[in-house]
Amino acid sequence: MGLPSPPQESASPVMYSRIWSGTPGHLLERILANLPVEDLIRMCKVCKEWNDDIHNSSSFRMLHKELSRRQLPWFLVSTSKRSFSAYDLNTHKWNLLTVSRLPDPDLRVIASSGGLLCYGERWGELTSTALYACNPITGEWRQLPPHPEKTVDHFGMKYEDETNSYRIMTMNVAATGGTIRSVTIYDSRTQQWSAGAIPKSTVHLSKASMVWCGKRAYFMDRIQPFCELHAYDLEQSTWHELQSLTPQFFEYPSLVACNDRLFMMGLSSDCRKIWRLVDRPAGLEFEEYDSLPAQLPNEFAVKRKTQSIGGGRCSNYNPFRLNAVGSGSLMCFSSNLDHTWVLIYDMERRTFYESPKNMQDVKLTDYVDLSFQPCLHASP
Amino acid sequence: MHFQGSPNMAEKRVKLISSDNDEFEVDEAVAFESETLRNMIQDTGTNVPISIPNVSSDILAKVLEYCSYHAETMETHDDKPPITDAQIREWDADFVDVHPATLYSLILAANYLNIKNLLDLICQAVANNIRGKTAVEIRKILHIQDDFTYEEEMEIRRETKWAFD
Repeated sequence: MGLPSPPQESASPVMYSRIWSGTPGHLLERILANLPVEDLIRMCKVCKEWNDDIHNSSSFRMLHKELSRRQLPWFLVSTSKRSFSAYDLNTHKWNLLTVSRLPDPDLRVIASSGGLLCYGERWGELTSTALYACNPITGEWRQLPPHPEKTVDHFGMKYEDETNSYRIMTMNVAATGGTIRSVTIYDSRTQQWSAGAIPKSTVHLSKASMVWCGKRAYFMDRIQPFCELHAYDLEQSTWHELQSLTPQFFEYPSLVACNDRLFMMGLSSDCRKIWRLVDRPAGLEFEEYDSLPAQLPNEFAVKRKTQSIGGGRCSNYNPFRLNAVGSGSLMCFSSNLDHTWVLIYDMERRTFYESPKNMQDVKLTDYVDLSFQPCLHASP
Repeated sequence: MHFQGSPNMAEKRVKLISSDNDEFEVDEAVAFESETLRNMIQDTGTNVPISIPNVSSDILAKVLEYCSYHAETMETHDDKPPITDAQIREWDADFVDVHPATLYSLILAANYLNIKNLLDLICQAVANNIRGKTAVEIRKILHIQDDFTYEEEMEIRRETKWAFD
């Protein structure tokens, strides 16, 4: 080779400039499309053309989807006033994002799927049906058409990568008892709300959010000695009832989907555990999978009190609730009482690690437990 | 210069001529790593040498080194264990560990010869070099003018603040 090869570090920007300043535009685009989202966003400041390409060009979005490596998720823990705070597993940093283009300053994140978030307003258990879908990375948003009801009781979102489309599922329960009186589904491909099937049997939904596993949304009903799982199949528009043996719990467990399998996390007699749903000849069963570390930060600063749950009295009731959300092979545990910390579980390595404490001065009032996959190509 | 293909392939050979008139002879399978060469060979056959007017001999040698290694990884040998993905990744990483000027010539050659995997490999390598750089540094390197108004810059700063914290 006729060229001198000094170590790359010593190459000054001037030298790079001599080499790279004539790079054809389409090759520059290809290079940029390899950058992870957070690096790409920093490149918005270079010039108008780049900013426009990164934020608005659909061909660049598709190139970025093709070339950039799939990133690890962010886990959202708090939200209010168009903002949210999330722990980014790629950079191990806490990100505070505000989608200031959204028209209503009181909006908060109420659901997420893939690279999209759903914003709305929530009062207590009720969610307003004035809803907005949004990609917080590109800032693109859309207001959904009017929902047949003013408020909904249960709410979930499902994004599909292959078709770059999403669906939002809402349910309303009857005033007495817990029976579901209406299921309404928004499909971004038709941009319409339509009525979904109503389960034949009575379903007492727990307050926990719905969990998506494959094409089905799962909900947990009464626990002990059996746990009733209800699943709604989005493709078939059918309800399925699954019964499984459950271990004893001292607080309502969270359902978690990881690697297209269902798990459950809850407080058992001595510590918090993870169970995996397995299909045995005798039926479904939640089988113990792993245990969480015994001592969690801040947990024991909260005063314990006795309270009865699910019929049985439980002496070690702990108001420090831990919720879990899954993404790929990762689980994230977060608490309603401490928005500055999460615990991550890597299922493949079977290891836990704690996030650094969020030191940003974040005043987001509402707790959420959602995962988010940063990308450019998910369009609302 | 000759690039050896595998012995069990009684292959057609292809002659290539670089911009500085060096002649290279490779197996057809090696040349077929390039979409551009594949189309040319399918049009004109292997009897006529193919001239590549905008790739110099040192760069063409590098490109053919890449193509013959990758053509070889596609073959199966009874006497040798297959090359693992990890080995290929390691080889690729070594391949792009070159002077920026070489990398730049390679990206243009890969683009012209339409060797998608090589193009992706180099773009990824350049992207890795860009990663830590600021917008000011990038502008300097690429001779790009900062064309934002003060208001536009403030808006971008507000919207992308999270990526800079």
